Amino acid sequence: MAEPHLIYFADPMCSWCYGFSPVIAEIRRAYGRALPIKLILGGLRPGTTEPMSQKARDELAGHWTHVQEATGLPFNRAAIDGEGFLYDTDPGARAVVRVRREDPELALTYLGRLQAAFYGEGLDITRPEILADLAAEFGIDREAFLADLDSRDLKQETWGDYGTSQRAGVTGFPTLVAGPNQDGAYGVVTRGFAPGDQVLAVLNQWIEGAVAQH
Amino acid sequence: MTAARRLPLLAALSLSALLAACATTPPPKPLSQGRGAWSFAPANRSESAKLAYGIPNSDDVGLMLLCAQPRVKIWMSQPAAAPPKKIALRSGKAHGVYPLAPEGEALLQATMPAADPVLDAFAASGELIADQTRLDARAANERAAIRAFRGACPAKTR
Repeated sequence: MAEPHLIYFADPMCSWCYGFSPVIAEIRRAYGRALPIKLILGGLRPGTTEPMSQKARDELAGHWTHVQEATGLPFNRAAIDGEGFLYDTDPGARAVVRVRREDPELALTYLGRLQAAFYGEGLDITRPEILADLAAEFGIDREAFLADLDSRDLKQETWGDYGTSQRAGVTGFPTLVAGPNQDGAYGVVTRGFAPGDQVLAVLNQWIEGAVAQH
Repeated sequence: MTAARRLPLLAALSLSALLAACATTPPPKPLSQGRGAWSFAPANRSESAKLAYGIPNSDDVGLMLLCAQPRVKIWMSQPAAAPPKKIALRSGKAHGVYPLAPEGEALLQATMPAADPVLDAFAASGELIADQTRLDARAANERAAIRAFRGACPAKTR
């Protein structure tokens, strides 16, 4: 049986996941490697081929204000206002999977970095060179990263994540799941953003329930 | 000692061993319902009445209906695996298939007549299937939201 862990369904270009990234960091600080977090890329809008209209950009930025109000995180719409911007979540997701191959823990950190770059700094993380620059910040070989980014097997692995997410019935991001217990059962911690204190309270209750039974 | 302060200690005890050894440890109790819900937004200065199905505080709205008399605009999230070429809605015996708008954006888009029987059946029952996914209203406030949308976007305008 698998060791107890968390499964985090997320996407680099998911605004509520950006809002949830400090919560993920808080969980990692609290539990460290004692409760590993397995990252599954959800596939929010992969393969988009049409540039966003001005109306769609404004609607998206309007949606971000809700995340900003709930989390206090900064938002910068420079990326989506770029000429011909394609809201294609696939390149960013592939980049995270590429980093995950080297280090699953680092992939979580890199995911948070991509989200901060896109939403907070207005960087276009659909562009391979920006994804590579951000990976290089963590010591990833830039040229090897770029060479892999468009590879067939990396695409297959990433779309495998999307399939896993769909089979699990995950329809909104972020979603955090915990398990398994001895019966192999997993439970949803949260579907959608929730503040860190609430998420940690659920996890604490889960763990303290286990302690109380010993 | 608060639960939060006990965390490092628990971590030191090895959560993996602890949790794995407990045969009856239940999964965590979720913070949210774990399902989507319908919500209604009345018309305002910049936008007409809107009805949306989705998980609160998450990305990826499952389905959204926007009143645009004499039609209703439909937005639906795009499945990663096999995007459909049409949006199919069914409520009870009423059903319709709506071709996608040529202007592709982040969400699939189509329109339906405001007089479409699917909207009446949906308002009456709270039941809706979008393509193959059930998006039924389960709570009273969701059914009220659907009726409010129908009231704000009726079949016939005066």
